[in-house]
Formats: sequence, structure tokens, C-alpha cells
Amino acid sequence: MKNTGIITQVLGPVVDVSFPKGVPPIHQALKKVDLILEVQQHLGDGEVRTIALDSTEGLKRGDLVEDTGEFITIPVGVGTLGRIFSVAGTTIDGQKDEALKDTLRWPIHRPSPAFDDQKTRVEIFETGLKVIDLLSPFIKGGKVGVFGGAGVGKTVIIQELIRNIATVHGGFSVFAGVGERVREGNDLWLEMKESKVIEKTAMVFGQMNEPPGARLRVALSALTISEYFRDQMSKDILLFIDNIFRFAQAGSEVSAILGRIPSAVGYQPTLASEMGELQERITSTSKGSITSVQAIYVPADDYTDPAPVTTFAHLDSTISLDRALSEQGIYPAVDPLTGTSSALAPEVVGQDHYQTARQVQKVLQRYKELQDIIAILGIDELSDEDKLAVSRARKIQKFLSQPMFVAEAFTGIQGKYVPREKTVESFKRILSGELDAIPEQNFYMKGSIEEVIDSK
Amino acid sequence: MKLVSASKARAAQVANQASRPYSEKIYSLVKNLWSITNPKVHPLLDQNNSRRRCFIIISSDKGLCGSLIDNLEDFLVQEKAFSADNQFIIIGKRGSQITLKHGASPTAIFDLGLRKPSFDFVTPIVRLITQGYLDNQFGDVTIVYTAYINSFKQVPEKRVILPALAVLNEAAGKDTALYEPNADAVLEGLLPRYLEIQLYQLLLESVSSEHAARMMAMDKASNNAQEIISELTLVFNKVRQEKITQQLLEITTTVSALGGK
Repeated sequence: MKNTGIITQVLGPVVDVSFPKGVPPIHQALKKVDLILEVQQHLGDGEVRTIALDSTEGLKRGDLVEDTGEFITIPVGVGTLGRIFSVAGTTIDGQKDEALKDTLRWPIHRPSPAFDDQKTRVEIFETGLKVIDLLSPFIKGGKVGVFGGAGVGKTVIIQELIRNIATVHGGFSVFAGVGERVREGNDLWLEMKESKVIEKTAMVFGQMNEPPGARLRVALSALTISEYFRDQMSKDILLFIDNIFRFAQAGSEVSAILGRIPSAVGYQPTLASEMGELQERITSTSKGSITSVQAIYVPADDYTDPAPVTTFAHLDSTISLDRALSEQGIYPAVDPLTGTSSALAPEVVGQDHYQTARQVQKVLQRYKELQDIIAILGIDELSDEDKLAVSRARKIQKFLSQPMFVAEAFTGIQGKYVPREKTVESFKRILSGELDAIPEQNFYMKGSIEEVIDSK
Repeated sequence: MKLVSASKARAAQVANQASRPYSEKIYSLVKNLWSITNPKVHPLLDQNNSRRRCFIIISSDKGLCGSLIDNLEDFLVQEKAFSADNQFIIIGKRGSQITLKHGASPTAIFDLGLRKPSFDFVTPIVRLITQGYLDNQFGDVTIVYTAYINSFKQVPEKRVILPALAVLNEAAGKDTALYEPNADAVLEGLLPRYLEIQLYQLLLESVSSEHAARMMAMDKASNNAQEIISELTLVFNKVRQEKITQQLLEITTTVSALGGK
């Protein structure tokens, strides 16, 4: 006999249920036909407060709810590859479910790996994008944040990374669509089907149209699928989360209704621990690794907003997308000065790469400092060294743009994959001054430096 | 800066205008004298046999005058002036900087300093070039200066002043004046004065150009700065407003979450 409860209050996505015969534990899933509720709080007197993972329209006081006796579960294993799931593990790609019937299901709430299971090995992860490989190299098994305001190209970069890495790297990837546009998920799906990458990818979507409960849990669902591959199959996994900010946002949407006092900027007071719970599970163990790339929306381009700030602390490397660059038509609009990477050290990337990257940043930094002077007095007032620095910086800036495969439809230029050694060599040649005579426009939207020289 | 340059530009312009009648008169006088004397008589009028050249570069001491100095530099490069054989007499600190940058070493540097350009300033330079020319150190002397077209436009130009023949080599009007003791002697005495006034005139012109260019550059700079200020003010107001809204929002949501009214 299953434990049943009675709904006592419906407040948007938050539902209170009374259980006369003992309350279910926190995070347990309750069920009313297809609707899943997750227990969040014990209110006392046999009452629990839950979050609905789907819309609560039509729900009313006095309705009966069934305790499933377990956490929300999601199918795991090879059967999930090529499929799209909702947060609770139902397929939403309109294909037959037979293969999934006997697949193992794992609960989405799991402890993070123990200290002694974790592994740190620093190995560079080549992306084929010049600006990333040079200035914020990714680490295998590390966490990468892609920061950016609205419409500066976060999703395009993520898609390009999926394309480049999946075709070159060949491992399994898991994609979590958290609170972004449904259309983008569809684009990605069609694109992956075309490039056959889909056969090695599992996708979990809880997009903008879904209630906050779903958006709050969808990242965990995707993570659970990745964890199975890592722990049970010892694979190296790529986990893409687009967009981790929506996870924080969904939390803040329900936080006040759950009765928590809002913290800074109206976020939930539990923001840091929620984020920590999620992020600490995305890690590499002695068995396998999860390399994650997370898009992070920065509200109003304000990098001091609590949501991006709490995410920052968990990342190994970050790239931030700059509106000013995207306005100049420089894509990918990665800001070369604010990106960081713990891998950008001589012992990891090599002396040559390190020196070149720092030199590039130095020249760009100088250019940035001079920009005020140029804006007011004009370029004529600069000293000769500064004029040279400005011309090189402008060339470097132009050369950091790169045609992308997934943006071919917009740019009409075929995408380019540039190996890391080529990237380093190219920038070294610009810095050496041997290309000072080539006009800066020739550096725009090019792959390696040979293309620039050939276009002369 | 703009106002300072504007008043200096006006003063320089007045000085430039004031000395012009004298310089024009002396020019026509020399021309007339030349037409009635034998050019071989005076060595300054005649070609000597040195193939080296001497440049007098009239620049400025200070920057912040738009592209004035850059244009001058480009002009000199176009003229292929910077060869190790040539001699350079520089007026103004900036001129020595560009000469050194191109690997040439100036023979003499005259800083303009703070005073207004006066006639004494040009006498030693004229003595220097006359001496050098007579000693066969160089075969011609070219002044590179910035011509004042109007307050919006100043362009670098050159004028060859030695051999003096080069300038005067055009048809002169018929001279009816009588010279005492004779034309040759007057010409002899007049030639150094002629060179001085030529150089002085071009110096004044360059100084006017410099001040005019600076006036425009500073005007543009003030406008640019003004524009940046107004943009930043907008940003500042927006940020402040956002912050106020946010704080209000935080307070009200907190109050409602706490169940207050």
C-alpha cells in the first residue's frame, strides 16, 4: 500500500501536501498521474512543501498525491545516447522507447565523489578556436565557464565546441539545456543528427517554457547520465550546460515562495550551496573524467551579479564574451584580457605558448590603456612605439576572430579548425613585427597566419 | 589649451602679416638687382660643386598639434631627405626627434623655447648656412616648413633658398632705380638680409601653422572629451537608477517574505 497525501495548498510551482501516515524524506518524488512533485521542506504536522516539475494548472486542494518511495530517476547507460529526455527521464524526441524499457535508472540526487576518488591531471584540451586555445586553454576533466550577456554568442560558441570536440575527440557527450530557447535545442539536435554526433550524445532539456522546478533539476538529470558513464563505464565525458545561470534563476523563482528570505539582488540565500552541490559532482575521478563547458548568462552585463560570481569559484578556466567585440563584428567575441585559465602556465602549455599568450595580452592591454588618449587627442599624438603597439594590437584583435562551422549559415565563410601549435606560431609572427606591412583588414576572419599572408 | 592656442595663433598671424611687406619688398629688390648684375659675381647666387644637401627643418617644440609633425615627417620621407650625407639644421625639439628616428644626425638644433620668434633667432642660422655654402659643405639649402593655408589647413612645403639663383630664376621687371655706390655692392650687402628675412618669414608662417593646428586639435579634443563625459554621465545615471531600483526591490521582497505588510 503506497503512502498517499492530500494537497493542502497550491502556490504556483510550489505545492504543499499533507501526509497523515508519515512524511516522505526530502528530495523524494511524489506523483499525481504524470505530474512529479519533489519534496523540499518539512513544514511540521505531517505537511511537506514540494516543487512541481511541471505546470500545476488544474491541481486543487484535496487532490490525492502518491509517494513514489524514491528520488526522481533518469535512465542511464548507452541506451540514452542519441535520445532527448525531459528532467524526469521521459523521452521527448518522438522516437520509440523500447530500447529504454530495461535501462537502468539512477536517482538524480547523488553524493559528490569522495576526496580520495578525485583526480587531478592537467592535460590541455584543444578546441581549435584560436582565442581560446591561446589565452584560456581548456583542461581535460576541468570546468570551463563561458560568460556573456544576452545575444553575444554564448550558445554559438558552445555549439562550435560541441562540433569541434565531438568530431575530433569522439567520446560521449551529454548536453543539458537549462532554461534556454527551445529553438536552440532543436537547432542543436538537427545539427547533431546531420553530423552524426548525436549517436554519441545524450541530451536533457528543461527549457524556458518549463516551470522553475524543471529548470532547477534538469542539470542534475544530465549530470547523473554523465556520472553513470564516468563511474560505471570509465569513460571521459563532455558535459555541456547551457545555461547554468538559469539554474540559479530557477532557484530564485521558487525560493521566495518556499518562504526563504531573499539575499543580495533577490537571489535565494542558498545560492552558493545549491551551486556547490551541483558543481562538486561535476568532477573527474580515478575512473573517468567529466569535462564540462558551462554557458553563464551575465545579467545586464554585470559581472558582479551574485549568480555569475558564485559560479566563478568553481571554474578552472573562463572565457568571457564582450559586447563591444561582438558589435565590432569580431566573432567569437571572446575578451582576450578577462579570460583566465589555470592551465596557462609554462609547465602546462610550454614556455613558448605561455610567453606568446602573455605578450599578446600585454600588447592588447597597452592598446586598451591608450584608447582614452586616442579617443580624445587622436592617434597622431602617440609616440612611435605606441603607434606600433596600436597597429599590432588591432591586427591581433582582428586575427582573434575566426570563422566557425556552426555559423557558416550566417557568415557564408567555411569554418576553420586551427591546431594549438599553429595558433601560437601565428601570434608569435604578428608580435615579431614581420607582418607589420600587411593591412589589418587582411587579418579578419582568418584561420592560420598562412591565410593572412596568402590574401596579400 | 584651445583658447591659449587661439590667442597665440592670432598673435603669430599678426606677426606673419606684419613682416610680409618687408620680405616681399626685399624679394623684389634682390630680384631686380640680380637681373641687372652678373650672377657669377656673388658666390651665394651661384651653383657650387658640392652634391650634399642641407635641410633647415622648421618644426615645433611641443606636440598636441594634430598631425602637423607627422605630415612634416611624411613630407621629409617623400623628399628622401634622410640620407647620411645630408646636413640638418633643426628648429624645434620635435624636428630633432624625427631626424634622429630616421638615423640622421642634426648639425645644429635650435629650440624655439618660450619666446616669440625674433629676428635675432635667424641670424646665427643664416650665418651657419652662408658659411657652409661658401665652404662647399653642401650644394643647396632647402627650408622645410609648414605653410599656413587657413586655420583648418596647414601643409608641409619646401623652399630652396641657396643657391639664391634657384628662387630668383624668373623674369624680373625692368629696374629703373639707381644704386649707390653700385648694384653689385648693394646686392652683396643685401643678400644676407634677404636670406634672413626669407627664413624669418617661413619661421613665422610655421609658428602660425603650429598654433592653428594646435587650436584645432585642442578644439577637437575638448569636443571628444565632452562627448565622453556626456556618455559616461548617462551610464552613471543608469547604473545609479538600477541600483536604487534593486535595493527597493530587495527590501520589498524581504518584507513580503517575512510576512509584513
